[in-house]
Amino acid sequence: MNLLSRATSRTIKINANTVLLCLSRSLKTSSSRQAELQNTAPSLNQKKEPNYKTFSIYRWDPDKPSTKPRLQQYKVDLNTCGPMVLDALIKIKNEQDATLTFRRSCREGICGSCAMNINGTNTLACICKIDRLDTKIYPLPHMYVIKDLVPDLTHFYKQYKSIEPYLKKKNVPKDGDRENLQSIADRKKLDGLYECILCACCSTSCPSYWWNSDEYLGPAVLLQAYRWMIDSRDDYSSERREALQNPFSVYRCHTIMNCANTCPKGLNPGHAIAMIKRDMALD
Amino acid sequence: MTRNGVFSILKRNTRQDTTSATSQGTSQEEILVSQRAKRPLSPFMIYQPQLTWYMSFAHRATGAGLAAGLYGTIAAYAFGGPDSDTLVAAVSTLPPTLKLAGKFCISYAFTYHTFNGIRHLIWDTGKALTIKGVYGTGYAVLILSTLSSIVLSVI
Repeated sequence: MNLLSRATSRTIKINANTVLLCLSRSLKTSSSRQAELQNTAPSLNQKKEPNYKTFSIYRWDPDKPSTKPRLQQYKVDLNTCGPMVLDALIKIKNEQDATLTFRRSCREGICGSCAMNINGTNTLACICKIDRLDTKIYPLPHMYVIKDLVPDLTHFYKQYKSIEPYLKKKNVPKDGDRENLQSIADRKKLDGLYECILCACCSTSCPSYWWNSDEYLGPAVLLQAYRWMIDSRDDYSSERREALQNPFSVYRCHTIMNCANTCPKGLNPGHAIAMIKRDMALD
Repeated sequence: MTRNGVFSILKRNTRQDTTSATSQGTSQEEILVSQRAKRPLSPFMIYQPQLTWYMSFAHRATGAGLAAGLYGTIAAYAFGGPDSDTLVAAVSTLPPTLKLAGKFCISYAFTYHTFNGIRHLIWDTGKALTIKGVYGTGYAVLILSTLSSIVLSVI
């Protein structure tokens, strides 16, 4: 008898766990939960007239590769949707079309997963407000598409790896040297560089990168290259510049400045590249 | 070295891919390769028209046009094309509005390319390379080149 009751209580516990898990795994936005509350208690909250807005979203399915990419229209009621484009995408995926594919993670502009082309400019969907009557959403421009809004960033990451984005020292640290110290002035040089989240918005906004991405490193990677060149703790600045001394790696930058214009973090890769070019000329 | 760096990484990764594929069976690899062969390139002509890349495009277009015009006329003259007297006579028969429009187009290409070239030289020193600076100098170049080419085409 005792054994039986213990067993039933355990199954109840498991059931409760699965329910909790289900709740935590659903991607519902807080506003869509609010909408549900409104539906259940209409006497408490006056229900607003639905305010529909059309989202045109780029679709391509790798399982049907012969079907051409197309724009698919979705209508979303803005009164039951959060303020950002990512909220609308999640709402569409939850309520209308579960096959819609996009990357997202932090929903606060710090992970860089949801970089995409919204109304013609590259930005992060999670910090881009829904404003106009119609919104067009494409993947990052001139990249191979894996599915829908997901571009293939393999080559971008390989280029990042090629600039050796880590501290390199010529001398082995002595015993007792646990930290690489830096003056406040030297640390300040890294401001505006270290904040980069590698979302690839700038690189894929750059016409030079569109045509020469096989050899030109692109604004995001060059910003990081400069970040390590001017770090006072790094001993390989001139070697890092030497590695870029060829017609393509840096010099495909023609100071178009789409990069600084589009950066969702407000950084200026164009200026960093100009500084690399200046230091390379003075070397 | 960077290019070599990228290549060596690419090579290393392909080697890793093939070894893992042989151990797991090639079916997954085949699906991946066939999908990659057919995947589309995401559209880029949808990018929003901005002063930045439109002015860069115009700089290149005017530079190429001016070079083609200069070298073309020199080559035509060298290979026995029409001499300057016949050219002047031919142009003087054109209607005045067409002459003015033609002069404006050629002088605008020249002044725009010159002023934008100076803008690039300022950028090379690291100055005016903020969004504000880019737009400020951009509008300055557009105004200066329009005014100066109007003057040149009226002369």
